[in-house]
Amino acid sequence: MKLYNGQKNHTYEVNYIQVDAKTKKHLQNMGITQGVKIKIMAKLGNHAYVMRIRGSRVALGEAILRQIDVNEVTKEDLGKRGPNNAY
Amino acid sequence: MHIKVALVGNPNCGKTTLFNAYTGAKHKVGNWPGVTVEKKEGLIKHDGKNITLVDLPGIYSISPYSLEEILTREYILNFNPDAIINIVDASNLERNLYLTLQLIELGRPVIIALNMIDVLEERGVSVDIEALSKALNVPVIPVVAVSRKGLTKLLHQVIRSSKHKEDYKPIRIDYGETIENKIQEVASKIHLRTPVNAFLLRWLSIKVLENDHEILSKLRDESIEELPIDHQRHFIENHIPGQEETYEEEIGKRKYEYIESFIEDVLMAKENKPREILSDKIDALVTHPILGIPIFLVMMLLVFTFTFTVGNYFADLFESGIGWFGGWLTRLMIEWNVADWLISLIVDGVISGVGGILIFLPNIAALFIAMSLLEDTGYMARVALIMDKNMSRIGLNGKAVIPLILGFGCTVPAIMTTRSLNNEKDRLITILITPFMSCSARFPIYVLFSRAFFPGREILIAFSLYFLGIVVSIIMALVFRKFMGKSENSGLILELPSYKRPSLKTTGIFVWEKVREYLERAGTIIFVASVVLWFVLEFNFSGKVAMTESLGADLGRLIAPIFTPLGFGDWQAALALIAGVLGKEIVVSSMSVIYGVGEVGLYSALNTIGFTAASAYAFMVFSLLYTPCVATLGVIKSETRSWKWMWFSFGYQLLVAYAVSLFFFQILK
Repeated sequence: MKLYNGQKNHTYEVNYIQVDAKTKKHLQNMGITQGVKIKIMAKLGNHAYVMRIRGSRVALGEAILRQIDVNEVTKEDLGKRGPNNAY
Repeated sequence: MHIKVALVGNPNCGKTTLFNAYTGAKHKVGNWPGVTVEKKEGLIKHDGKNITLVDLPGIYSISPYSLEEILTREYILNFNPDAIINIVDASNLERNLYLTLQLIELGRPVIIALNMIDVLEERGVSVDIEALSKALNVPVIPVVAVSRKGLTKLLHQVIRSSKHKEDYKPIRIDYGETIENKIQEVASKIHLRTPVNAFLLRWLSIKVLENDHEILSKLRDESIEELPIDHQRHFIENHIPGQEETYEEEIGKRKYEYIESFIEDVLMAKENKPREILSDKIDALVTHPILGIPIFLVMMLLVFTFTFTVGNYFADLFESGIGWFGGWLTRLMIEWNVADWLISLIVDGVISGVGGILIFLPNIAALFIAMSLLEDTGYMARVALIMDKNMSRIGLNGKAVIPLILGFGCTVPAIMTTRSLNNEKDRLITILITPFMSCSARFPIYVLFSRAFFPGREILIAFSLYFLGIVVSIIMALVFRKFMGKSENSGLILELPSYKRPSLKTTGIFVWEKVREYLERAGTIIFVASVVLWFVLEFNFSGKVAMTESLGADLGRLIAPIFTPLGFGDWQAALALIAGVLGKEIVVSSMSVIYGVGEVGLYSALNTIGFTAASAYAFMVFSLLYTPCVATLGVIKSETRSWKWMWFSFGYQLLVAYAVSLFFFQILK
């Protein structure tokens, strides 16, 4: 699924990111890499989401959200706790 | 012994606060050679050693994607600092350490100044300093820049690290067998004219694999043997064999994985602490889908109310002070039998011109205090977020709103912040519309004219002009978007830093820098412009003449007819507008010189040359929109790296100003 279709307060793991090299680098700088866990903290309508990624708060716009492919991480998986959800 | 130290860190990590804590306002501010990125240097003494601190721009990584990133690593590679202080925001540790790992790889001694531990502890998380230091093999010194905690210890460590810089051995991140083999292969092919040490060689090889075009071209120039680089200066192999990922992606990912491998041992969550922290609570309110924009509008209203009320209070004091000073000096010079022409030059030229500008200093200081607070607290990033939807209607993303708001202060730094926009088209459009935002230099014009023609409604008139500037910028953005087409991937990617209590010192130093710039302008360009203007108004080629016969009047008369349809086709207004290209406040200082503050009141003088309410408004509209000042033109040139866009700005703003001003005059008259 796309991150755009994610729900508030749910956590997702990034499968792949389908953007140009420069945008990819920018996302990497924000901590968004393949395999990272992302929690959707808030939604501003359908236009932009605020996310918790590696302990920092990052907002992504719709165009980017539609290009990030993710899998939902269940509560049980979270129980084992990946390092990205430490705080 | 002289020690050079580079200060490096993410944006919003508290770097400026730390730099200010060490150097106060006593630092040199300049530009990096050839570019308009600010360079700050401060000299401090500690334990008998001289230490130069160089404040490098805030960056997320040292890849070659932005000017700031390139400058930072060029500085580290070429100027060979004895140590690097990496300021790390503890409340955002995992992401901040990504830059740290890149700095460590450069092979220079790195010292981590761990900032904002208090914010982290508020969240119920503590940091194991020793574990962090061990994991990265660098010293970690906790600091609280605001209360100066840890600052001395940090300097001790700087001296210690710089003494042993030759023995420094950075940790080595394992990128996995495939990449490690490739790094070795590339390293074996790099044979430079000036040999480098093993750490730097490894770093260069990694950069080659990441297809870092800056490094690739440098290597090509410096290499003895040819590297496997294609004609586009790309390293031939971009992708890892048999995988979809590029080397660059995989190397970045491995760095994060390295951080993940120890971060849990470093950050220790204490139980029973509420997870929701203050920043989250504030965000829930200010980025609320419905309340967000009204809150933003109230904030802007507060900014301007503060600028007008607090600023005006002090401005009135300044004005009477300068008026008194002019009178006192005139009497004194008459007593001393000073020649009439010299009295005229000093009183009508310098004091009128420079003084006419100085009285606005309190308003400008007030505006910059408000701007600085918006930025320092972290609110500005939220504005970008809540405005994203509206900005997308004019084809830009939310980040473009930041230069536009900063444009209310000064267009020059505002245009520089457009660098945060990732898309070149978006950036160009933002650069082209930012000058329409009414900067503080235009404010004196509104005050002068609205006091004369709209007494009691000054604030309303000023607001209408600020609003008009916004409307025109929106229309122009739409026009440009139509011609340039929609840009790809201009989606929003924005970090929302934790809210911070603004530091009095940081705000103070920032505002003082702006006030000093303003004073410097008053003392240099406005002073010279006033003196020159006095001469062209007192003389023509035959000698001293009445003002209406002067060179200045002739020049004004030459172009004045162009402005007749706009309602201000007299030479005085035309001359003031020409002079105003040097800086928009010079429109006012020129008017002051033309009429002389002491003799006839400026306001009644404007009346006598035929200004009416309609033409006064049209004049303000024209001043708001016409050709940006020379400093702005300069920054447009350097930021777009094109004379074409600079001249385009010059010309199209003139046309827009003419059309809009004509429209208003014809309606209002």
